[in-house]
Amino acid sequence: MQKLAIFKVTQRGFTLLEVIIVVAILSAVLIPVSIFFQEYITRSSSSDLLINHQLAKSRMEKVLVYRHYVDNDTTIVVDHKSFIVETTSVKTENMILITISAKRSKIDSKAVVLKRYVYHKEEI
Amino acid sequence: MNKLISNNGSVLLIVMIALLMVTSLYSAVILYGSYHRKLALRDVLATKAFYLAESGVEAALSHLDNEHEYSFSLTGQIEASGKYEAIVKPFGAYLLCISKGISGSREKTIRCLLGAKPEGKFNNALNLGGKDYPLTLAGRTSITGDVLVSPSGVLPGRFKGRRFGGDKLVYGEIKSSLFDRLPEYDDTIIKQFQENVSDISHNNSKTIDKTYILDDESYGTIKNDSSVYFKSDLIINIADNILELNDRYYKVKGNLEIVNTSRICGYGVIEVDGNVLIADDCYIKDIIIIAHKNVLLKDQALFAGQIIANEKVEINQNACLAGEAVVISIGKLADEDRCIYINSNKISKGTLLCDIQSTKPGRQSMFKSLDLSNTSSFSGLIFNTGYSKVSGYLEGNLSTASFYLYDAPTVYINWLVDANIISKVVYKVVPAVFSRNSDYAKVGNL
Repeated sequence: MQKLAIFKVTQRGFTLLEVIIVVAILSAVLIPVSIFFQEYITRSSSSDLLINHQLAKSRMEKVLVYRHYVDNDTTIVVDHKSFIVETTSVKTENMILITISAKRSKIDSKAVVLKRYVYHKEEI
Repeated sequence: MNKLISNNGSVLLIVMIALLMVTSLYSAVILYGSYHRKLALRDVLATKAFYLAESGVEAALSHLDNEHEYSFSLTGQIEASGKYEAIVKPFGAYLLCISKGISGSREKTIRCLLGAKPEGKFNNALNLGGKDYPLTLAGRTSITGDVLVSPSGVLPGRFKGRRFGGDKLVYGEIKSSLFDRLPEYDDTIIKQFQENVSDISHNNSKTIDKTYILDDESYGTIKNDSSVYFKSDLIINIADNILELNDRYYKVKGNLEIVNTSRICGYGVIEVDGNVLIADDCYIKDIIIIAHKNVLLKDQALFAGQIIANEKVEINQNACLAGEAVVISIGKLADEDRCIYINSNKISKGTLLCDIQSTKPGRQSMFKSLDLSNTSSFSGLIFNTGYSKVSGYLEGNLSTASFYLYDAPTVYINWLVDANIISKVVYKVVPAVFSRNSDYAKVGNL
């Protein structure tokens, strides 16, 4: 009975002050961390990388199929995000070096760059 | 006791637990994200390596265009992408290009056949070379497309079948020329290839004395050997399973039988001193069979590789050629007979080259025969330095020295009976032996 009384006395809820202190400490630690992670995730997002990769690859195949070696920039919107796909072609002897670069626009994310030689006799 | 169960200091504890949970959650997210990113990066590197390997093939085509040599290797680099290494060597009637692209830690190797772009004369339905004899059309013969014949031109039929006036069954332009009109084939590629094969044969890693039946169980004993010398016959009977030759070389002293729905693929070579039988729904792709004697394809066998035979090649009983199949008959023969014989066949596709030399004095002109008969159907190129007999359906191009047939008692006439030839550009790339054109391209990349 005595034990129960003690237990009852010590099982108080958290005071408002304690809760405020916990929230304050967590906020102080987590807000900078969250900002850092947000930046990290945005920069290193594998979904962006996959989209960049797919866009670059499909553009390369299109250029190879149609043999249309003209420099251009295109903006493509995927899942409400806009991506820039750049095509450049440089002629060296009887080869053309096609370079396709795909990256997320307005964000400092890393571009996927694919390069391929094409044997081509004629002038561009 | 009161101190032990007191809640004093619990704020720190709760904060630490909460931080631990949140940190674990973030760590999991980061690990998951970095794992996915690694996978995505590997994928990007693999694509880069693939395009580098393809760049190697393109560089090889460019080198061929400049140097016109059939055996070489080259390397190259693309800045911020990686490097490629390409090897080109003769592989039967084509050139084989093995190109490796290396980007970071990823490598990709591709193999492809290179051929020549066909010359303009391959657009004709018929190129008739040889001596200046007129071509006689007889029976239900019909030629759709341009025809290149000798100055004697085209005559109406004199013998069997209904008569008609000269060129009425030629639906195209009839051109005649005094010059040697039969396109030459480039035998240097095949000679180089056969030299390569004989080089391999000196390095046989394994010899098998008795007749060898290659089935599912026995295959395990030789599948890792780069080359095997079978001193007797070889019977391949692997029922629906696949034998991948992949650069391997089999030399068979006796005969070769491929039966019972066996499948063979990979860029390998089987050289056979005896005869070759391919039957029973077997499927063969990409490999080269060098036969020093005869080859018989029958019973729905499907062949999409290359046959180089010193004697006769017969394709019968609904066996067929497919894909980029090439049949070459280029040896010496003492008997007078059909060297390439296609019979009872509906769907063959590929390229046929017949240049058998007669060992019989005075019979050279009557040799090198090619027979597309019995309403057989063939789609592709036929090149025959001897005489042809065509009574089937041909969609493509036929280049032949003549259509000589014997008419009793002593007359040989240059006639074409019951043939249906329709000119069609079937291939944009032909085996390199067929064209002197220096413009090369990848086979299958149309």
